[in-house]
Amino acid sequence: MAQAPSPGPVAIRARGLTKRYGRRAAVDGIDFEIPSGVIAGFVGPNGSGKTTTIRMLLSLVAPTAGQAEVLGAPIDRPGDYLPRVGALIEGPAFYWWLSGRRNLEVLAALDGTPASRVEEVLAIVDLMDRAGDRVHTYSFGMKQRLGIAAALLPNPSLLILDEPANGLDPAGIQEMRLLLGHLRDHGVTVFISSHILSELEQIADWILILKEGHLLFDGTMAELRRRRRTATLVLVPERTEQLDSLVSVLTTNGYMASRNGHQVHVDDFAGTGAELNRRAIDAGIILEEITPVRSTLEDTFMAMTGGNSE
Amino acid sequence: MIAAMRSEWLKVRRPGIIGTTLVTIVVLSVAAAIVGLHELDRPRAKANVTLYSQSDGFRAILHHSTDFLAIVGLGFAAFAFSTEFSGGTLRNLLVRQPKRLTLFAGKSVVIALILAVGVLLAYVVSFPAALVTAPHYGVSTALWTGGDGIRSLFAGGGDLVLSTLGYAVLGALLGVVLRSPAPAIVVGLAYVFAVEGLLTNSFASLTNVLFASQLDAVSRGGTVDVGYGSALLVAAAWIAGAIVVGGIDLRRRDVAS
Repeated sequence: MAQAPSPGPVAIRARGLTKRYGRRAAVDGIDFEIPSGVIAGFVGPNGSGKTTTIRMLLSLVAPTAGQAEVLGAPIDRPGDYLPRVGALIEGPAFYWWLSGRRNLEVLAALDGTPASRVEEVLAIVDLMDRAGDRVHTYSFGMKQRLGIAAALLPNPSLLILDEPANGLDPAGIQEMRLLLGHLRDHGVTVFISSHILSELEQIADWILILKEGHLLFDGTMAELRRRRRTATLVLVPERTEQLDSLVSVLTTNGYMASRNGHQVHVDDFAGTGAELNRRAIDAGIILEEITPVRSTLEDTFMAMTGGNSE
Repeated sequence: MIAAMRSEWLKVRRPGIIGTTLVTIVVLSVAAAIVGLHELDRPRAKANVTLYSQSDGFRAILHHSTDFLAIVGLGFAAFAFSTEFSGGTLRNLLVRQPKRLTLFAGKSVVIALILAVGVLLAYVVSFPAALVTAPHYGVSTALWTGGDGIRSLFAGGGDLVLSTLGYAVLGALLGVVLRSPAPAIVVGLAYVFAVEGLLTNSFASLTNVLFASQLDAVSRGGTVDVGYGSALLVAAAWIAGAIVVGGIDLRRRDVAS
């Protein structure tokens, strides 16, 4: 597994981290390092071990083997690092009979967070208007925002968010993206699991990809982008009767070309459009369109995990 | 632990929760006192006017509330502890207070205080109710307010609190181990009202050993079968065992739901 150079001290480090339930390994000896001050995306299909890993990092679940450190403290000494960690785990869970504000006060009372901080985080997630209402009257998106507010309560150095965009509307997702960027800019490390890969592609600096308990990738987003599958190039000849000739010319020259309706697709193409244009002109074919189709992070993820993105 | 207590208090201090709990305990205790007196009218009743007219007559009457206080104590604690697991709120609490024993100790103190206040309030309210009602059943209350009567009154209130808290410990243990309210409450009540009864009926000597029998004896200030001191000691041993088992489970088991 390639390790990109760390831009800062390590916020989370795992070595051989393993969790077994009976004979099944939910997390199987993963090694990774997340530098401080980045937004680190944690992606993987359902059941890949993301939430179990997060639970171990928060000392809710004991590892079967291996070690991990969070903010420089081993995870078997949670009192040394959890006061500096905010977390939203497996969706929001609150006392339904209490108001949003009172739910936050319950948590704030546990570690002596001042009451003024409760009002601050309610304002950050835009819940001031409904803070006095009982949580059972909230929509799922509002509960999710309240969960993010709870995670922000301790003014954390590390924010761990498990699927925080679930239930948020597009505006809410945009606000969360801005908030996370703002926190990162102020030195907060954000560790965020999500199946919305396009979201991670837009905000994450660092990425971990997990499948069936195994870590497939741990490194910078830039490095992952370099690993993206080579682009597909879509070619449209001026004369449609030349489609087959174009395919023939290109395959003869070693390209993975195939006809697709009135287009020719050249897959796994690492060169330039000019190169193909030259081949076509040499064969007497004029190209009307040359369109590169770049693969997304999601395509890369699919290719790496060989499955769906959920 | 003070912080954990403050946090728990913020959760339960809603008038609806406290009020409903206290009103339920008080109303049912008064009802139990009246039922206890009404029993005198039943043929072949165990109680009699002479017994109720003794200095500890009120205590004997209110013994009828022991069963329902057992239900309240066990059910309230089992619900309060297990819903932290089943509702998923425990993981939020543990991120803010990773010392699990400290967190649950604070919670236990608040739950115990609410139950103790409820039982004492019920006891205090039931006394004048019984004082007014008893003469209608031919019971003399003259000795109830004498020196021995007042001593018995205080001792009875304390013993009822101890007994209720004993049931609450059982409820809390089941809440922690089973992590879901319905199984915790059902298993607890089934043990107290069915399993232990069957066992003591089959093996009389177990009356001196089993948990609910000791709590019953404590609430009565001792019985013919089980002395008060012995009941207190054995119950304390059970409670210590429950705290150890619950504490180990709490510390070692994953919080995975």
